[in-house]
Amino acid sequence: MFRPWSHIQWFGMGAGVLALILLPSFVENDEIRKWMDILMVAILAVSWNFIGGLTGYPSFAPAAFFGLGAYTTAILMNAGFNFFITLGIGACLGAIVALILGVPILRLRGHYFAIATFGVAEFFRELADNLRITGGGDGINLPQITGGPDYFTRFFYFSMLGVAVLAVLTQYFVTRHRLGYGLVAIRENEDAASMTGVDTTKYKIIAFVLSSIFPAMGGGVYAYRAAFLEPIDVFDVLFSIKAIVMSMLGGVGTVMGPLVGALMMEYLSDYLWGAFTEFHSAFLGIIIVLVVLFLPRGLMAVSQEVRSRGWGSLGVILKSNIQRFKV
Amino acid sequence: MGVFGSDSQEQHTEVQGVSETLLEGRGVTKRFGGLTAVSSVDFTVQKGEILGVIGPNGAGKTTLLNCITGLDPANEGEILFHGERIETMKPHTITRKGVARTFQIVQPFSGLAVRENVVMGALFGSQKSKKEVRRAQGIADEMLAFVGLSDKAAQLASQLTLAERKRLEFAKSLATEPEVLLLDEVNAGLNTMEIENAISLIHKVREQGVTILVIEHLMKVITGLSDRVIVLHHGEKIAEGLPRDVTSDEQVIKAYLGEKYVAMMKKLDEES
Repeated sequence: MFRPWSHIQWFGMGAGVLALILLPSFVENDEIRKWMDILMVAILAVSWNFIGGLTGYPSFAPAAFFGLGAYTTAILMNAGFNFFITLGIGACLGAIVALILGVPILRLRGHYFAIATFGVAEFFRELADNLRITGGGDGINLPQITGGPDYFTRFFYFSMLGVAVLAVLTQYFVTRHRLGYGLVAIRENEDAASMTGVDTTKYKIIAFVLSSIFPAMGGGVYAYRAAFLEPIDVFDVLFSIKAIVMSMLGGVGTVMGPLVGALMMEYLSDYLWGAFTEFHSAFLGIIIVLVVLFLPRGLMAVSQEVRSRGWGSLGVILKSNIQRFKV
Repeated sequence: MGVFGSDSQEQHTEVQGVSETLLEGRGVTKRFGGLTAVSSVDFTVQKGEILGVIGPNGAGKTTLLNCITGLDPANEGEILFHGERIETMKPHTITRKGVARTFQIVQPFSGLAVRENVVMGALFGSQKSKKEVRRAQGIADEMLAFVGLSDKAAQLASQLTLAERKRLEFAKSLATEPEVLLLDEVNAGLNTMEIENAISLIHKVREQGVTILVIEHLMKVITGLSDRVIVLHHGEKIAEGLPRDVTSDEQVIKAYLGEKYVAMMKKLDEES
């Protein structure tokens, strides 16, 4: 299932992170901004993987935690708090909300759980729309960051990179330890998991809490960078959907899958935007359908099978994927 | 140290000849709406024995097992394990205390490899849980060798035959280091050869010091297997005793074969 990374894999990861650290020294601000967006959705996808990929509970809550973190940073920074401290508080708040909500909604399974988590995001949007402290529907301004564009582009980029690295490392250690095994057992067969001795309620809540922390931090960085928040911007269900689609594209339940998915999806979306401005959403939709049909377990799973069976078997693999739909 | 190190240790402390009650049910009752699936059933399982639970389809055998394991808690009555009441505990707590089970309809983690299925049992099942993945993998390999699935360790659980999946259930439950193992119709759907293998496996498990409660609806199998038998019918316990006494009990024959059959046999007896 999860083998500890070999030295080569650790080296590859280190090289990847190093490349991302050095990236701003070689490219224009525009390109840095694009990579920052990739990192942001990668954070969402990796976090979704805790609850959706490993535990098998299709959560639409990432947007809720993202928005929660964003508004926490906005409100606290206006009250004079340091930016990084607001990220920490946002993460804690996300975790507490996940803990409190997890107890009732993690009793639901499948579609019912999905709808409930969807409702959570809508609830927070309504809340932000109507409270005075959040500025209501008019939105809320944040203190402007000082310094030139070169400085703040890098500042936000490195903040996002930090959160992303934290999320990926957390995921790595969870999947290689008892916790990760318990989550996968729940995904595979919850009754059997509890008969095997897994405290399913506790484990599901831990997964939900883990899936809330990093989106909340990412939301904080997003808020400071945007300098202005509206409820509809951050409690946007598109954040949740992106997280899910990217995990599926890359490979649900693997550490690298959501990263690969986020990278491909953002690049693809960027390219389609440039090439077919009018239809780019339609093309994205078609790609999502194709992914679900041909790559239900994601690119990582297919690449693993191709590695063990050779390129000649690619057709067979794709064909066997569609055959699942024949009754 | 053997495969079940902890259990064989505890066996030494047991005074020979004196039987010790390991698992006990007092007035266990389970209702589903208006239907009483298990009605005030008392039972005891002695340490080291094989207790058979028989009864026709719908007698409440599996429901009783679900009550014991906490999957479907009883409405009334007490269930004691080592004298401690467990009837309100959650399934995972009961498993960790040392009560493991297999399912009639096997419940593997189908998307995982055979070995990983067993790793789950070793990682989570025991009270002194093997929190380290690598140690759990070691135990899993021992268990797979014990049930004879070593060569299938890397296959997906969904690729196994039914008989193999039943053996996987065994390995998975044994990896939790149980003191008592509850087996739910391990032979259902197996052919004669496979049934023989399964029975010899059950004996092998008992030799390791594990107490066994086995549910079965095949009379023939249970009489050869159990030290003692209880018979359920419509949720009630109608007989209890040694296998050969129970199988000649008139009520039991009635429950299994119907009143007409008993009347016919009586008539035949009188004629001869």
